[in-house]
Amino acid sequence: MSDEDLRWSVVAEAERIRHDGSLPPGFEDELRGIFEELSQDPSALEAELRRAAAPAAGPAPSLSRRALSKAGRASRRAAAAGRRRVGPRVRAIERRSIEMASRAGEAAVTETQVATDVARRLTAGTLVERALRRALAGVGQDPAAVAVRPLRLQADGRLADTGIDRFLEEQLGSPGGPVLHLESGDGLLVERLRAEGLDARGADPRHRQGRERRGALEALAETPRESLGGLVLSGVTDRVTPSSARALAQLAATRLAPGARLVLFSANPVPLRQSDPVASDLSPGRPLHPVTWCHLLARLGLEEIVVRESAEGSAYAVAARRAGEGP
Amino acid sequence: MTPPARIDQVLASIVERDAVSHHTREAQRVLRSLGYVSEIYSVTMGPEMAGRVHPLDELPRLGEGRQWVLYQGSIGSPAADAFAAHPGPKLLDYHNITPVGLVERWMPSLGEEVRLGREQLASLAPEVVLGLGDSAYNVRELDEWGYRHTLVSMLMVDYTNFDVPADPRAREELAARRASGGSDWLFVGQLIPHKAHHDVVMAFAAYLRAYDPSARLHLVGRESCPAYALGVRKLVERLGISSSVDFAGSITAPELAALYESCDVYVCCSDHEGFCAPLLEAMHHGLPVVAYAAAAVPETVAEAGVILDSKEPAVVAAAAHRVIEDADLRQALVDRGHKRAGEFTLERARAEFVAGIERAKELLGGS
Repeated sequence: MSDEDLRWSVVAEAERIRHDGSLPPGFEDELRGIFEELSQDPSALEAELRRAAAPAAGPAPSLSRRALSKAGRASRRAAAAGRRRVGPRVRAIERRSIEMASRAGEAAVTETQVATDVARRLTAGTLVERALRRALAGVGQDPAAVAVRPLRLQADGRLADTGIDRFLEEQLGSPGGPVLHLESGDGLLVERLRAEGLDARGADPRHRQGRERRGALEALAETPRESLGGLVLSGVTDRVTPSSARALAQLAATRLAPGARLVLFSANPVPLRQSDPVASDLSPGRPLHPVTWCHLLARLGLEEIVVRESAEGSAYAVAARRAGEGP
Repeated sequence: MTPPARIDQVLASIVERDAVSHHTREAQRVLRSLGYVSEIYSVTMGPEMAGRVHPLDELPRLGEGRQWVLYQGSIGSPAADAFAAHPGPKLLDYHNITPVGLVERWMPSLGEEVRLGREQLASLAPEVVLGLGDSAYNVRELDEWGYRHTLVSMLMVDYTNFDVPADPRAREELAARRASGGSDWLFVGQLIPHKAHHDVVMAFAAYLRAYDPSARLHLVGRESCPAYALGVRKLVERLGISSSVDFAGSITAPELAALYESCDVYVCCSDHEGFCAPLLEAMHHGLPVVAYAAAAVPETVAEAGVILDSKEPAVVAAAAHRVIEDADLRQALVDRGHKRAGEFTLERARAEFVAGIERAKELLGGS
């Protein structure tokens, strides 16, 4: 039988099952109708996914989410029935326990880093701190040894790099809550955001003295959870070690309200661009590679992660959005 | 013009497990074996590529004649801009870009990237000395964009990699299921809209109803478009066939080999494929193919599968039924599939690539 004959016989067979009762009348139209209905609004499906991914502390699950969850459980049970009884269950338990351990580990690291930050404040200017700095500087591991590169701002609060400035505007959009700029320097960016109608405020722990002088992690830890409509990080991002970066990202993720956005800026020294992310970030005391920030933020469940490099390549911005819908 | 001292490649992204990345690295090996200095420059790269690939902004500009640049085009990228701005003679290796209309509604950001990619490639036509395409279908697209000289040059992927031993546990699990009756359908591809998993599901639903209520459908591939994947899952739920459909996700090569060995038919309803390696993989494993005649699919399958002009559920179901039940047809397809898959050797692909380089030399008056 030629290929053409085969195709014709298949079409004839399709006609047969359509008309001899093998398929109910209108069955194919019904199938197509269901998918057309489901695919009419992809953004509704995305919103459903975001709701499903939102942390437990979010709003109570809606009926449809419960129904989805129930259907998901039923589906998983049915799929598992034909497989080995023990294997998949054991793997699922292992996966869950690894995730739980990882989350517990993250929390512990964050607490440790905040405590270190507090200790740093309490020992600021003391002999202990000076001794520590000398010791660490000797092995090239003092994060503070890196010159802070504040955001290059114009007098009107706009970033010197117009591409990055536009990126900041696009990412912050119209936040549904207050915007915090951490390490806000002289506050030019905050003033500009206020002039644009945002509820913006700045915090720069470095500018305070004595007991008022707080570390960036400490300041962020004191910000109520899920209270921010937007968060801008600069300065501190140039000095963090990989472990405190993880804590910083963790705190940032939990301080953002659902749907709120984080934008962080950092210097992009030439040595980073010439090497791969892992090698770069194993060299302590330098700004992190943007790929590392992306991994950190993605692991914390932030989404829509975007990196933008300044025109001259000396700085970069990373933006991310917390899952869920804004207020 | 004398032959260049070096032929460098630029591309958007390079990682370990990706066909275009494999092809690019193989191209580098071939170019070096021909005596050229050849480096790869990429916008982004996986950490595993460190030391083997350079950042795009390090691409040297040695001036016309001393350096050619070969762009591996598969998506919109700043790499195309760097390629366009380079002063050296330009070659393009085109791996196809999905049409915007097939992805935009579901993935607006990807829609932008593919739109940009198509615009970039169309605008490059006057600049490029020779355009290579993985398939005649891809070459036709280059011709439509106005590329003056084009040539088919297969993807340089070592398909003997298909010969991994099947995972014994997965094979055992599948055999246990099959013992209770029912046939198995397989489709392999990321859950993205243009792969049309929903059409496979609808055809499978018709097959369950008309022929075999105990059948199973295995969908292998990561959920690259979560909204679309959710839509397909909901379709399965609404049709009440969740217990018959296995969303296997991304699985290991031995697990996939077990599926190829155990299933009865490979069903592809994709709306767009620039080549479609899984079709080849199915044929290599002796799994008969039923596929919708979209883009490069008929060219890849040739006479070795059942190619359909329609993907109406009843038609696809009837074709799958025929392949599963007609032993003579099945054996003929298995034999033709083995033969067809055997035609795509790495040696042949290398020879085609070398022929492309020779052709470029001729066009530039270097031989």
